[in-house]
Amino acid sequence: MLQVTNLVKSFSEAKGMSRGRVLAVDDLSIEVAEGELFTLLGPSGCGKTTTLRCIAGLETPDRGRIDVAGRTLFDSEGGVRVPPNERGLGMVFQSYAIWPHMNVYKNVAFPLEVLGRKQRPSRKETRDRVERALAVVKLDQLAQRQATDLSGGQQQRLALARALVMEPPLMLLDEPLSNLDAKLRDDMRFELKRLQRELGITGVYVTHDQVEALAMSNRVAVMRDGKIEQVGAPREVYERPGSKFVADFIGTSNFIDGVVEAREGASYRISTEHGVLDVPSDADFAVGAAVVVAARPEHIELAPGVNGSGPNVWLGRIEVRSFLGEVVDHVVSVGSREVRARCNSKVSIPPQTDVTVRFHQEAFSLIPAGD
Amino acid sequence: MVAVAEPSLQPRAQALRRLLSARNLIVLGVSVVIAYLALVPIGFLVWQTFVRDGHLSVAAFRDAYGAVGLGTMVVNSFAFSFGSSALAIVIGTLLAHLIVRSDVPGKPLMYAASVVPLIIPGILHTIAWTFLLDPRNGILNLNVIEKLGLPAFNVYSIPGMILVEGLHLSPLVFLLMVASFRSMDPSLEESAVMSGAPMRKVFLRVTLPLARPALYAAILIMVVRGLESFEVPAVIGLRNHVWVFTSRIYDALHALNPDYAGAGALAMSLLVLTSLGVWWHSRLARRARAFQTVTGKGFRPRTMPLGRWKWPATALILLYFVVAIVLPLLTLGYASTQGFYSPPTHYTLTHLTGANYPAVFHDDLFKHAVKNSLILGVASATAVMLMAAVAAWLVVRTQLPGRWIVDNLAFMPLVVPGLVLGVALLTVYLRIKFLPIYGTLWILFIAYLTRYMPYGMRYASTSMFQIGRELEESAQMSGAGWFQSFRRIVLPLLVPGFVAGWIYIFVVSFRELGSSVLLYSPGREVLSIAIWQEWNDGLLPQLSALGVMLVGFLVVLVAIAYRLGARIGVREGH
Repeated sequence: MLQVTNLVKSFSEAKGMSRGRVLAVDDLSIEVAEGELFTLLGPSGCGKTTTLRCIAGLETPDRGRIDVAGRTLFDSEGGVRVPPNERGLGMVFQSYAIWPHMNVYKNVAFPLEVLGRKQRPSRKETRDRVERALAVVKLDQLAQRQATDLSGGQQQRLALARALVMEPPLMLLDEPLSNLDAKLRDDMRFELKRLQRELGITGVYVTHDQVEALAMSNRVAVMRDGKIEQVGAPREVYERPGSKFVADFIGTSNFIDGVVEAREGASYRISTEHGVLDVPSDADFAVGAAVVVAARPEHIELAPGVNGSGPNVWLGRIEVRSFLGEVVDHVVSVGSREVRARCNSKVSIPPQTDVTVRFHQEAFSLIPAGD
Repeated sequence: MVAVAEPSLQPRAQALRRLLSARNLIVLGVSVVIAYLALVPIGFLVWQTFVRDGHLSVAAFRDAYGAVGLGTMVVNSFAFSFGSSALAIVIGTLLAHLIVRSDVPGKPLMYAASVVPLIIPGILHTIAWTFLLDPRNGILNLNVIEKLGLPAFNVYSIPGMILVEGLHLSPLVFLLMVASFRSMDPSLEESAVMSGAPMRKVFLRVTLPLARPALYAAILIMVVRGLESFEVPAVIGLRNHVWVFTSRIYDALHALNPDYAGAGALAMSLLVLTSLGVWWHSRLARRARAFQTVTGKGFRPRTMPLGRWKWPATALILLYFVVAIVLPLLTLGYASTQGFYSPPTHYTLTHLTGANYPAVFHDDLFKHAVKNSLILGVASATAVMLMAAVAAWLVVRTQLPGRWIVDNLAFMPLVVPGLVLGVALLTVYLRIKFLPIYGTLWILFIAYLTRYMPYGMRYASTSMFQIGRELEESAQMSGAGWFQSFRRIVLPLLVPGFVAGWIYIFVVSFRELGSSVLLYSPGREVLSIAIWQEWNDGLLPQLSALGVMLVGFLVVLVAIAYRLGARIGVREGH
């Protein structure tokens, strides 16, 4: 449905005397299948919004090619550049960009009213389509309301309806939930996902919120410095991060440096400063290679007292605990390092207690040393 | 061959079509007009002044300054402009601090007083003060000063000029300083209080230093204003031959043999001085950003109880209100009811007449003036705002290289005193034969367009900044072309700012005198010129009646503008 090929976009550096250029998007290629919700996830400045705006046509890339549904929208070599208003893509902006001088109905009708004379639907059809779009987002009761009188969540749904009314082949969503408060954001996350799955919308979704990305997407691309660091299904990216950056950005991880001591198929024995770890991994590492073991805190078990030894069991002492409601976080010192463990709320161990730290195998992923 | 040519031709034709789109043509047209308005008159002025018979020459300067007695004139100019600035700064800052930071009563009076320069044109204000402080029959001299046993105050002197100009400028300082005190985070002062500093020290060590950028700005604007003021030097200064730059320029052009080169040389000097002022200000402003306290957040400033100083402070505000507004307006009102002007006595006060008012309407000069002022006001306000809307869009919204040039060009006329612009336009349109607009309303239209372009630009770009970029982008994503999104999204959202700017320009165009006085011709008078002429002819009651009606009309307009301005949050001085 969407193909982005070797996209490059740079900006001139405005600050200071140096007139250098900053690469915002660095030779990026993605492919999105029909009906798929594809998420670009990354910290601010990673180029995810720039990529989205290039697809929208609001930015002109330096190089590369963009195709949507078999139509070339941009091609630096062929000299093709379709202006944004002729691309026919739907977009939901971070600020919703609801036009304050129009009512709800007019906002949604606008995309149909500005169509060329030939494509413009009849008055009746416009009305039907607007009402259908409003019904989908449950705003049909508020059609005559002034747009500025809507609540944040309603404005968000209005922006969605406005993008839907064109029945676009591709929907672009630029952090659509980030302006909502936490509770509403949770509700809208499910709502948006349900709509996307029900209507079979193909979408590119930009966010810096990993929870949102994991919850909503069919596939997630983690971006860093204009490049894609890793692409995959949410569970895949979470459970098998390909780099320290991904493991750190999605969820929290303990990073433990080590060396591959032995390997048996997909099972590795890693020696670290504080003890030996048995780590399963699909990745390919030679014996003697320097690696990093990323351990998810929620799969680390703590037990008071010193009992047990062997691989994946370390001894330590509780430094701090903090109660977070659903879970209790503990920071445990093991030798000179600290390990963070997340336990269910029944486990709460006071500081200065000696504990046994037991790593479950699903906590681990194996990452090449370095960044 | 065709097969080879076609693919390369198509993108090129496409590119050409894109280049000649409505958007680019409109933007280009507006940019060219702005550049023409900003550059041509001043360029011409420089050229005419320095080039004589085809080569560079400073003869015009030598002649102009040789004839005038340069020394006294420059000293007078600076004494006048620094003196009036100092007076305005002291009054304006003091009152602003009282209003924003204390619990003094009577605040609405002060805000009403702050619009004085808008509703009382400078020429009327100045004439009213000659009624009040004429050494022989000034109302204040006769009834207050001499009753106190003091010698009469002669308004026809540098101190007199300073007093009148300073009073007229003080509301501007007040507005600038109110804005600055308001935007100051009160917690900065509160933390000084918590550190144990007494109020006096807080004011001197924290408040004033923080207000310094605004204070510098106010000083520079006032000095420049004082230098370019024409009304006070012409109406008050000339009586006793107190010459300054502006009156000299006017005099050079109204001698029996108009001396264009001489006027040009003087105008150039004045232009250099005002440009230096503005340049210095922009440098200061840039440095001031380092300790920016204006965060754009609306703080609700804490007001301090004045205690026993409350009543003296109230008296001060009341005194200012009476002196700055009530006295001049009352004087004009009184003068308008007299058959022949003389200071108020029991006899004149019991023999009032309303005959001057209907008489005004039968006066041909008045009829011309009203018609011309209305035409010029409507036309220049509309043209400026339309131009500014496009230019502001270009500057605020696009990434086009060179857009800052358009921005700077649009603001350039701010540096050019009205009288200098008048001289420049005269030199241009007396020489250029293919645009025979000298002696028509068009030349006044061009003058107003140029002078008010910066104001229009400020209104338009302020409201443009308030329209989120995404509102326009979402229109594009919805399939709207540039023209559609400009017409259906940008313009409707600009309307409040557009209307407020329009009314502002309409109002200030009514009091414009500096350019008009050089550019009008018989039959093409505007209202300010009508007042100027009647003053020259000694028709004091008649001009007072006209003035009172004009003030009434402007009060209504300003009230509308303020209401609109408050709604969109654009509320700035002048």
